[in-house]
Amino acid sequence: MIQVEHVHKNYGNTPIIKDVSLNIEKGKLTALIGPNGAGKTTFLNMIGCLTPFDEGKIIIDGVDTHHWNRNDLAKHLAILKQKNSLNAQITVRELFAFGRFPHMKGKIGPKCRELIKQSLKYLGMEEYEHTYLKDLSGGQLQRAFIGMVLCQDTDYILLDEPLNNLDMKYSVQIMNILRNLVDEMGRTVVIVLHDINFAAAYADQIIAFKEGEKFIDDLSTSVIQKRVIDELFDMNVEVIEHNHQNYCLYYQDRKQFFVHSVQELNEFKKVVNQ
Amino acid sequence: MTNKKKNSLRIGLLILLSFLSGLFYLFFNIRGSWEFALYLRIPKLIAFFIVSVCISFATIPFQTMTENHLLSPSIIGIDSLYTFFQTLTVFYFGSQSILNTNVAINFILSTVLVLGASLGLFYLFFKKIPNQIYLMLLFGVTLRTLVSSLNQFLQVIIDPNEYTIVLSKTLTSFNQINVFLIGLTILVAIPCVLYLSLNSKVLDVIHLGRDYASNLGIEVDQQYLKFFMIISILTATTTSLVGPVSFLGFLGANISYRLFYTYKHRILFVGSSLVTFLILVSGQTIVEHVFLTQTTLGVVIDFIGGLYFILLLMKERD
Repeated sequence: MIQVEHVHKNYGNTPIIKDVSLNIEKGKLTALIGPNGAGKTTFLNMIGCLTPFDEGKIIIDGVDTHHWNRNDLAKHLAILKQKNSLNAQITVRELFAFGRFPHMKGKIGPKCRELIKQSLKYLGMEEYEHTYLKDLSGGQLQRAFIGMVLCQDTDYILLDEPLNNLDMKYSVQIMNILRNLVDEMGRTVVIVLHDINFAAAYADQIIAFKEGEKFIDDLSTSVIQKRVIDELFDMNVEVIEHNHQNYCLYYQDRKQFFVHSVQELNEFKKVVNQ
Repeated sequence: MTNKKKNSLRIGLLILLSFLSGLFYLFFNIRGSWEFALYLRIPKLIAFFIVSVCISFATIPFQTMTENHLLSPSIIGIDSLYTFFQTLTVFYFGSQSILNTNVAINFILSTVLVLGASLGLFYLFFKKIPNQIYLMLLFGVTLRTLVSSLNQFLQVIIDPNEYTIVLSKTLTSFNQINVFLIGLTILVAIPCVLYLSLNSKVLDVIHLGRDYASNLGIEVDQQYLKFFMIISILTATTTSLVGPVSFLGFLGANISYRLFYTYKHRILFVGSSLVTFLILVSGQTIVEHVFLTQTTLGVVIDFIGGLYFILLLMKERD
């Protein structure tokens, strides 16, 4: 379990994570959702020990993050970042092999080779095994990095918007893989998602952030409700139910603009129609 | 043929070429006493080898950590600090002072000074203000400009005779290699080179960037500090031995990235050392036998390097 206790973080004088306390249960898929700038990525990075925080504690499997040995932690927790770019001349296979570093320190044993082979298959990257990362498309690169995280073979897998560059099919396949990791292999997945319908369909627990604070932390069925989503995103959405699953239709609100009156909208129209 | 096999062949070829060019340099055109010629040439060859190794082991990790193939350790002013120290001691204590006449004292003092300054810089940017590599580099560039300006100022007002002493110490030159200095340099360089070799795999992981290196279990701030310190030591000792050689390191590193097309530091270190050695030996051969020492090695290296990059640019355009 990951316990977060009264964690607070400032950037200069601006608080960006305000007194957040929550628990992330083991063996579940937890989604982090919320508007832009709410602090989701920062929060994920704090749990992943990439970003320090100013006050509070984060405890992973009973040990405070300040006391975790970095290498031991790497065997228990892996994080996939949002931006994945690479200059170096590394092939997909070599990237997967990097995932074994905390365990093997650079050597590759038979178990590693087997894991890499299976991960390549699992992610549909077999034909790209020896392709250099710079020759991959955005979606393929994303899958390659997910592969590295998989090869790290950890209990906790944190992912920051992993579906960003992926088309519908790949997105669904990745989410199915993550769901499989939780259901069949007992892993714990924490995932920052922009599309709340993926959160609705795949997450057990949804934690929402708004303006640096925990807005709601509940089962996904309780979170995907009109009054909750409306307040969280300051929108006017419709929530429907289909096959015992709630979905959010957020494209229906035709009155969502940055300006708030018809007059202001018309001002723009006047300038453009020269 | 896999890239791995190709790289092994390339390394083998480079070793052969290095060996042959070394022999050629030693024995070509010895007019008169071969003992005397070898007496002059062998220390130079050894110096070439040491400098090639040290500068490769300093430049490549630096470029990996800064995620930039255009930088070299001299950007933070290590070599200009060395030059400043030489100018300062001649200015204040005179060229006859033991600080300048005793080679060992001079070497040790200047290396210690450079290390002290580097330690200060890295302590500031790895303990006090972590995760700000580009800020550190910018700070280093500024320091370098400051030191260079102070240096120029001193050199302008110093006695002209004393100035020639300063020049002889601070220009890139393989001509008067002190054998004792070579020994000192080897002594200092061996543990550094060993440490970097043993940690090649860690450097490989650092290619993925700071965050993924952290994710994979590397204590990034601590590790970067250690690496930067070692890079400083290697750069300082190389500069003490032959003067500023930043372009050479940059050249060797970039040629080896293109030649070997791998992320593996183990291969890049060896490859770059051999390429740099070849450049030095062939450059020196050209200086001695084609130009009859009417030009300096630095000029020839700049020429070879400049040509290489022009060809590269032309190739990129097509």
